[in-house]
Amino acid sequence: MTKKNHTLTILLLLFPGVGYIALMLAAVLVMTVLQSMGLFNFTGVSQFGFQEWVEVFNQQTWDAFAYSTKVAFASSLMCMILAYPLALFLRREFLAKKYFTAVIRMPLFMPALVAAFLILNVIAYHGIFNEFLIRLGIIREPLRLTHDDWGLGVVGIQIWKNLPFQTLIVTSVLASIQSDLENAAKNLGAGPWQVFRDILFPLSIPGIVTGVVLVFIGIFGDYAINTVAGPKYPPSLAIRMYANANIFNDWGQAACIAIIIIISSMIYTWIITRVARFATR
Amino acid sequence: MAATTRPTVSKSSLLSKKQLLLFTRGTVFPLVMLVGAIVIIGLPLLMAVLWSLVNPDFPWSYPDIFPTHLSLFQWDFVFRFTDITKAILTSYTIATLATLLAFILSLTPSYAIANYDFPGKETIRIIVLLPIILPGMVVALFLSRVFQFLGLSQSLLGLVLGHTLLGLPYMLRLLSTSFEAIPREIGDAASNLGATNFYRFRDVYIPMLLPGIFAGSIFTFITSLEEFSLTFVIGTPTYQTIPTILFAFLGYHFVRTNAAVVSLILMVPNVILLFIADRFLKTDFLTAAYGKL
Amino acid sequence: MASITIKNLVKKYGDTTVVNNVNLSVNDGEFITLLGPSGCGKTTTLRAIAGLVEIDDGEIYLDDRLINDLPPHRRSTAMVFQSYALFPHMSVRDNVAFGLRMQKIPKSERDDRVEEVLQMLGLEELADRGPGQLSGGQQQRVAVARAIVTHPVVLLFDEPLSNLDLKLRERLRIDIRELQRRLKITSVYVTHDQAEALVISDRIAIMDRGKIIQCADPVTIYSRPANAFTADFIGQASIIKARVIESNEYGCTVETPIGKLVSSDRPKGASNSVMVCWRPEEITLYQKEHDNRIEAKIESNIFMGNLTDLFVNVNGTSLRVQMGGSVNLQPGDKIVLGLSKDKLRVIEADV
Repeated sequence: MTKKNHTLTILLLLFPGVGYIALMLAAVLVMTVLQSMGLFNFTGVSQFGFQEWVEVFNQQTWDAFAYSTKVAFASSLMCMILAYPLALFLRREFLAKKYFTAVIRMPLFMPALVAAFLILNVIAYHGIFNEFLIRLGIIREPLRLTHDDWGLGVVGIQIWKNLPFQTLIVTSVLASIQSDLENAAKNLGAGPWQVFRDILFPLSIPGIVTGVVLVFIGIFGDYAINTVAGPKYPPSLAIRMYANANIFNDWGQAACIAIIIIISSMIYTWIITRVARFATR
Repeated sequence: MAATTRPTVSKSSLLSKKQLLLFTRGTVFPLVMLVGAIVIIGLPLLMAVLWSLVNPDFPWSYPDIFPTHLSLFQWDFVFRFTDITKAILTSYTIATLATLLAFILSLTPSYAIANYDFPGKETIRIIVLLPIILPGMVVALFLSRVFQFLGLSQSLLGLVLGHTLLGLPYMLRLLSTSFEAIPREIGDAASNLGATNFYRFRDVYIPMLLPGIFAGSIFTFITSLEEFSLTFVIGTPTYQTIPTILFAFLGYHFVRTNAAVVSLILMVPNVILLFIADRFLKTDFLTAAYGKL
Repeated sequence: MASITIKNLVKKYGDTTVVNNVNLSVNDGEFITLLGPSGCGKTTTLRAIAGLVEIDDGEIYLDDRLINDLPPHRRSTAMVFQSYALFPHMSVRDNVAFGLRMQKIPKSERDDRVEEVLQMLGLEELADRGPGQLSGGQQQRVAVARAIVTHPVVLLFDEPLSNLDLKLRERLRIDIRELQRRLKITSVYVTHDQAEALVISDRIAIMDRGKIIQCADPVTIYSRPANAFTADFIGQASIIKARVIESNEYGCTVETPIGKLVSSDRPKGASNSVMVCWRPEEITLYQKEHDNRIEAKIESNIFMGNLTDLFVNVNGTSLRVQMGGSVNLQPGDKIVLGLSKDKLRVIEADV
């Protein structure tokens, strides 16, 4: 087969699936950018220009941005802090390991809304979590954990929902580290903490990074969970975007926020991978 | 792991310090973890189940820890007085169509990705992952705008197309992993024995791909069933799926009992399907689907 | 430097007993090899000494100290792994320095010792490279450097040369032996390559199915194998069944499928059913001095360069005869072979 035919064949083969995705996403991207520039305003005047951008950088947008970043950071960090030890624990054999693993995996199969509802129920003002704490005498008044101003409820839900996924990733990465490396370290005098610090942790970071990025970006751009359990103000960036579009009918603003979300996600990805590289050395 | 001789329980001193330590480590700690896991994971589920079984004549409210009487009233109510049946139908129809479409669209690209090396392969890998990486509501909103422009808004076709977009990454990934697992020579052998491309696909590749097809279909199907943002923006109010109905019960009209019932409806098929997948397939698929390392 | 004593070591994996009551004493400064086919338990025994394997029964002593309950990082038993196990994210220098870091040796002393060892093994130029940039032989040397720099009392080698090609193997095994002689560290070496074992060991412990069959110096193992397994595993052997007809303090006479033979060995057990063996190179063309005379017919003549393998037939039994150089005999030719009685050994069938 000639070279030109070969390339053509490959392109044709790839087209159905890859082309489908590429075309649709390209259309979405174009639409978003153009709307942010004032075009495609289905109701009202379409005027090309930067006026939408001038308008979007205001206090509310900043508040939403800061809030979303805060929640994403807190959730991912806490999630990883819980997932790593859990993954280390899962490396060995222990009593009832099969059952433990099965239970831990449950939230994996749950859609975000269901997870939100389930946890919402438990941490509600009169929910069982508060009841439990009051009965134990730890607190006197119930804690407001849903629709609270800080976003604790959202963080809790996100951690609960993402923990199995993170644990799975870390377990997988740890398993891929050649076991003799650990044996060699022990053989040379490394105790458990040193084995973790000098061998397991540095070697696991490259593999974990992708998972961390996915979780972070997912939480940053979340709409559903924040609607169900988040504070009234500030809303998450995605909620603000949605409100602009479908409530205030201000698609220009919505488009700008969408672009802000995407570019922030890219920047955060870059930051996280940089930090990871730094931690590996 | 440290090499110690396994302790033989000496009959004289039953609880020496070392044995106590080992017992704690080996038995108590895992059990505590297990109970902890069951509480943290299982309790929310239990609450939902209980809420779905609340008897309206005996409302469950503070300070009762558990509802006093159970009944199937809520289930009956939801099925009779809400659009849940229509939503279930819609959900499963869209899921089936989207999975089918995703499968058809993925066959040739997965083959190409697995068997050929070409410049830009890495870029293609990223493009394929984009629908999962990009924030859902962003894609949903502006895809809906594109659909409005194309007259596909509030249409079943639009919904199927959108769900296919979100399922393709899984299908493509799992199928190409499956293709990669087939040794190159088998295809060559088939050609050598006279099979045209069509027969090669049908009689050699597809049977060997079945586990991958199965896994890909399950993930795509479940992704579609669970999909919220896109359906919410494009479909409501004309088309309701189980997630959008759930959202309604969680947001505007917060009826806890209805939400509990719908949550369970949404969850149970997922769990069953994924149990099947987990049992019959290797867990590598799980990690392969979730944007690998 | 320490002596190692292993008493009644047992290790099971599920229902399989991988190490079955192994007893071994290694003297201070000795180089002993655990030799056997895969699955015989040699690696498990080695790892038990290092503490990397939990044992089911038995005791391990370094000098007089029982080390059963010592975790691996507190035993001074540095190991060279089969896969080298070099830390991929560290340079050669950092790899070698690792053990010293764990011992909390201050930096200046650490650097000096690392330099010294790098020079000893010719690795100075590679010090800043990563393991991925080294050849197999270089990685192997780094693994050795990393182990010896910590001044362990015992050195353990887990088939360190099995991933290298033949010429490199032959050279490196001598280097390892020289190094050990110089440093005088007690060493336990695991391999399945019997030629390697013969070349480098002070003593060889042959293992089969979890047990030590014979433990002796190379010459003894080669010339006086304890049983058929050992005879066949080390070098090559012709082994045939025999029945003792006569025996006194000077030797015995046996009846075999190839005729009556005399041996200066005496049967060890009470049974009259034994096996006899000799090495293919020990049976040659018959001369007057030979105590045993065997008539045979050539089956095949295989020229191998420096040797010729002759396969001959004696009354239906096939034997292998090895001679130097080339032999001008064709299949079908008749040949008379001779074997001295001290080369015909009487051994037990199996332990």
